[in-house]
Amino acid sequence: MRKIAGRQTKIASLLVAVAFGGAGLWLPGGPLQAALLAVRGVLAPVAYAAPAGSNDPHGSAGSPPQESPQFLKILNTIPGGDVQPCSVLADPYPSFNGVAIDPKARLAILTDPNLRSAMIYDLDVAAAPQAKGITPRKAWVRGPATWLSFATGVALDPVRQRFYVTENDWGDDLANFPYTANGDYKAHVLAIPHGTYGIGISQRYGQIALAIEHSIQIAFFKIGAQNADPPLRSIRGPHTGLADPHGLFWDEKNGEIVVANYGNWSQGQWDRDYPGGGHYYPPSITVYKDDGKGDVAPLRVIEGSKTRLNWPTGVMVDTNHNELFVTNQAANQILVFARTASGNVAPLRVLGGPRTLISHPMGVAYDPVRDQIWVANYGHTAEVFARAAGGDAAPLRVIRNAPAGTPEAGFGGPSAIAYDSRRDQILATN
Amino acid sequence: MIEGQHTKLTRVAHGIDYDPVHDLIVASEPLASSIVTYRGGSNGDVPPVRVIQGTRTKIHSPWQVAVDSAHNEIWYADFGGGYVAAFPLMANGDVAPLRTIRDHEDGMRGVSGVAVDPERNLVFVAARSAHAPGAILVFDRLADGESSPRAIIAGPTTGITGLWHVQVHGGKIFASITGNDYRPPYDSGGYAPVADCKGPISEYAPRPLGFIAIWNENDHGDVPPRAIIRGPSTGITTITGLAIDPIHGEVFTRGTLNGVLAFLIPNFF
Repeated sequence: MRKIAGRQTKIASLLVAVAFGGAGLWLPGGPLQAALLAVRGVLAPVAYAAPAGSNDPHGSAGSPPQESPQFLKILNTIPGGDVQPCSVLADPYPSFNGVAIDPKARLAILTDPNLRSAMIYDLDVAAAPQAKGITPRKAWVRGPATWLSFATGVALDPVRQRFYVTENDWGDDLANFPYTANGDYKAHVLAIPHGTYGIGISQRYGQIALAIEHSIQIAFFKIGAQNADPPLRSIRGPHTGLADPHGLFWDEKNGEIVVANYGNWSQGQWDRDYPGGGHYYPPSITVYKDDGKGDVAPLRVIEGSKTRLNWPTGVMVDTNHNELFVTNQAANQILVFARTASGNVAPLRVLGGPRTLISHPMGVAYDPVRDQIWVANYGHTAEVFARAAGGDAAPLRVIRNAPAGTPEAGFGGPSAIAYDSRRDQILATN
Repeated sequence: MIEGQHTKLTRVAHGIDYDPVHDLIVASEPLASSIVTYRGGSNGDVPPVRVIQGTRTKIHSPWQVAVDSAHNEIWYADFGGGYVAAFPLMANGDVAPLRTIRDHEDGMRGVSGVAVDPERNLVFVAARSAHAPGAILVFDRLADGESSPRAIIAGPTTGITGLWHVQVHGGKIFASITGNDYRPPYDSGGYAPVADCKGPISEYAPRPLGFIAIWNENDHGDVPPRAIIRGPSTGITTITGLAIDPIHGEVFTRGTLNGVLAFLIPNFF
């Protein structure tokens, strides 16, 4: 999420009131406190030990620092201490991000980076647009054993009946689960490069493809890879046209991999010896042969003013109708192109407008059985439309992870904060 | 909300500052190696008024930014480069920094935070150093090149187990202590797991509590914080950005939850 939000403190108070039933001090107890304690298993300082073994929650990519005995000895003499915050600005409900569908198993799985979870829905769940309550879930995977933190991309393996979730920021792991997972389910994990977003799976190759923002690459792993298994190959380099890659779709039918690029490019941010600077390239959709390796040029590039691309985040190819769907996040739209579109071309149709309820769409998936698309917004709703919907069309169903009308804070892991003293606003990066 | 393609924002902006004198918002963009400036109050898909980016800037991986309104300069911490640097406030395009500070003796690694005291002409840097998992290094504001810090706050008594950001006000240093010396399982280029990697590290793995620590600007050496905000009731186990509102005596940070915590501690200022 790339938002800088200026928020009035009155909004902070509203969220506090919703979550805790009162302003002022943050009282212990309640759902948010329970969520906080569930996120961290241990709150008292402990010495860290790193046992080896698969699925070891501690891993071994360096040991966290130990708290020093000298500091602990004088800790209680230092003024301050265990002070409660006077306000908490946070959303107590999930925020949808990625979405993937298994039409045969009749499942839709959506990720949630806000509460660090993944939600499993029946693909045919009743979710009338006028319904105001939380849409019933089949399962909600969350908790320390899941490894889920900033859960973004999701892909399903219908053969093995497992789903995979990428971590875009706080974690550097790919966690996978059986379709039957629920609650604090112990994940199988694989170490992956930092800043992974999109994911696709190929049964033909037996591989998983990951789009990685920070190191500007597509990395491929064997299905079933775990722990520190290295990648099999990668597509990276100046000729690839990759630039801050986000969503990824593996089109097995046509032997192609489709990637959505925001256009930001920097080698220096991971290579301290790189003498050149960064660049802002136009947003684009790049398409590669799925057996590509190294610094390979894309087969096609969709780029230019006619495309209307504006932070293109999620991508999906409907191989039945040869259409390419793109979540145009910052414009609150779904753009639909011909699958083989190339160059500065306009979309075939644009789905967007107030009736659609589309707002910051992050993921899109296709249900060929019902000929419908699911659109996951970064917030409290996902909408289901007829595949051929366009313009300001109303959704057929609305999947809600919070009661209708619940405010959305929209945080995406704020790493930096500033205070605007003129406007009495908090500025937070996403 | 500032968002959209024209804004030139990228994911994981690890730095933002507000300049009340000129009414400007300055942010760092590591995925584009740039620093962007907006007018205060900007909203929507608006382009920045200035963008610092290019070969001459030497920007690698910019983290915290700090505006010195008195001297009209923008400071930034270069996480990958291992230094802090200053640009003119109105700098735009591919321009060289005014000054670049590197630690002459021990070197700085993982430079994550920078703050400026324009009255005392001091620059405060949050970084890992050769001898500590985290240190606050104090330099003369006009230092340039390989420089010796005037003071270093580091050592076991400080409680520093990792640092994210720093702020200064009224002779005090506010720092977010992460409790996490982040070491990714992959090499910096994302090519392969590091040599001794057996797997990823879970975000849920037990680790020291993160906290907010306050020192005096003239503190030096292995000294404990003058005040702390630390404990299970704070909502902080992990911690990142830090902002202060001296007018109301508030400190803002992101704790374990995906959001912002505010602490009312006027007596700490």
